[in-house]
Amino acid sequence: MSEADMNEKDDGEISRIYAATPRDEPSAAMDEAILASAHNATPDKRAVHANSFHWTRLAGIAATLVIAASLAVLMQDEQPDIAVLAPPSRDAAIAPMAKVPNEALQPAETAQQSMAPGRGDSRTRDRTDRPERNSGPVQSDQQQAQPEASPSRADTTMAAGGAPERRAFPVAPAPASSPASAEPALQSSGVAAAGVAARQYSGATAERSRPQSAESTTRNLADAGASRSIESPQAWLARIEALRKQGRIREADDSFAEFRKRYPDFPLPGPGPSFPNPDR
Amino acid sequence: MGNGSPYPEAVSVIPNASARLSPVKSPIADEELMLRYAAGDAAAFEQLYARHRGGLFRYITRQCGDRGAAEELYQDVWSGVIEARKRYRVEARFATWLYTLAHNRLIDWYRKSSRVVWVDFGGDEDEPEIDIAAQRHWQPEVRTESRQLAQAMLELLAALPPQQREAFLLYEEGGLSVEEIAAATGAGIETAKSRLRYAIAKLRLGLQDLT
Repeated sequence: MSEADMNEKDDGEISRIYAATPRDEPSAAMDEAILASAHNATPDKRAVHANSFHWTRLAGIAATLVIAASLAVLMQDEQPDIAVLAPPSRDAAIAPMAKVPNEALQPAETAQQSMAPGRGDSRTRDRTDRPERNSGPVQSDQQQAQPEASPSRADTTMAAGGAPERRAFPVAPAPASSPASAEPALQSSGVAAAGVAARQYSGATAERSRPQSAESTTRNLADAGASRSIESPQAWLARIEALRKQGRIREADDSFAEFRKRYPDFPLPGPGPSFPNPDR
Repeated sequence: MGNGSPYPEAVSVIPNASARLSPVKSPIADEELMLRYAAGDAAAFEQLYARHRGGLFRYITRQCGDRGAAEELYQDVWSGVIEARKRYRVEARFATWLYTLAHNRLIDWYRKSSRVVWVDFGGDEDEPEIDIAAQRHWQPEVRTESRQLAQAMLELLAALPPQQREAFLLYEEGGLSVEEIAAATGAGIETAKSRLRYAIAKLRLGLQDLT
């Protein structure tokens, strides 16, 4: 055994004897004081985490409630419109227009009448009044019609009017003091919304089965205000035919030109004496 | 490897075998606990405190010889640990750092209390020669009761020069190596080694005289 080994053994003996000495330890009170000091010096992460979790959870619940309440309000506001605007089928949506043939010639005038009380009110009332107005006497509308009311003006104002507004949320009353202001209001808000509703709720299957031009024309019709102010192309053509038969050729030509402006793609019933050459 | 497996037994991939042979999960190192505490984990401090409370307390108590002062110093050392948690960097073992704090507190206390016993931080050239080799075959357990030996040990320990006593206490209570003792006390390694050797030799000699 080397000297180093002997020293290690002797050192081990000293260590063993020292280990047998009383194991003095700090008092429990001192331990508590030191540990308390250590805890106080350090923020309790678990508590902070629990608080933050609690806070985020509450915030999440509150946000969910707010969103749910907003959606409920939105749905409550939109459902009546849908119910009113949505006819059971596309034919039903278009049919009333056929009963008011002359309104198509004077959209501005019709819009003026319907929108005069104010856009917000009129929209709701128009929807609810639609059956009565559609079933009303056509003659009265014809008498009120202004021949010089130009659809081209309507196109212009619609193009300048920008995107259609949301329906069922009248933010501010529309200016309805003049036909020029009432017309874009009609076309940009209520009519467009009615068109959207008509597209949504009309028979999609029947629409698919129709020719493309008729479909697009019908869609244009719906978009332009299918509810009540524009007559159907068929009715319009029938009226033109009637004018021709009455000898009112000039009026028939003007009306047909107007018709072509509005429905450039609408197929004519067939080449006949009543209608000028489409390529004219 | 004795079972013919190409893998060492410690990394056996056989579940049952690894469950039997897997070593006990090593405890978290002191340094890691201190870093966790510095990061805000108070539970890490509790573990750290539990590991070092007894040894540090005995080191301070037996080094200063005054129980009341020792308790105050002990609390002061741990307060220093708590305060220094943000500045703590793992540059040495936590025990070395802890006992360095304690050593410095003790020096301050000695200076304050006018117990200028160990102003000499130099070597131990003045120590009398001790024939360590002559004590090789000392077997105290044969002839003396262990209780008496323990009491004699404490008395001999208290009679040691402070530097030697400190070296011995750091070695026994703190588990510090000679190099760590040198680092904790600010002495050279050879000085620390000499102090420790002298301390052990004197203790052995004193115990031998008892028997």
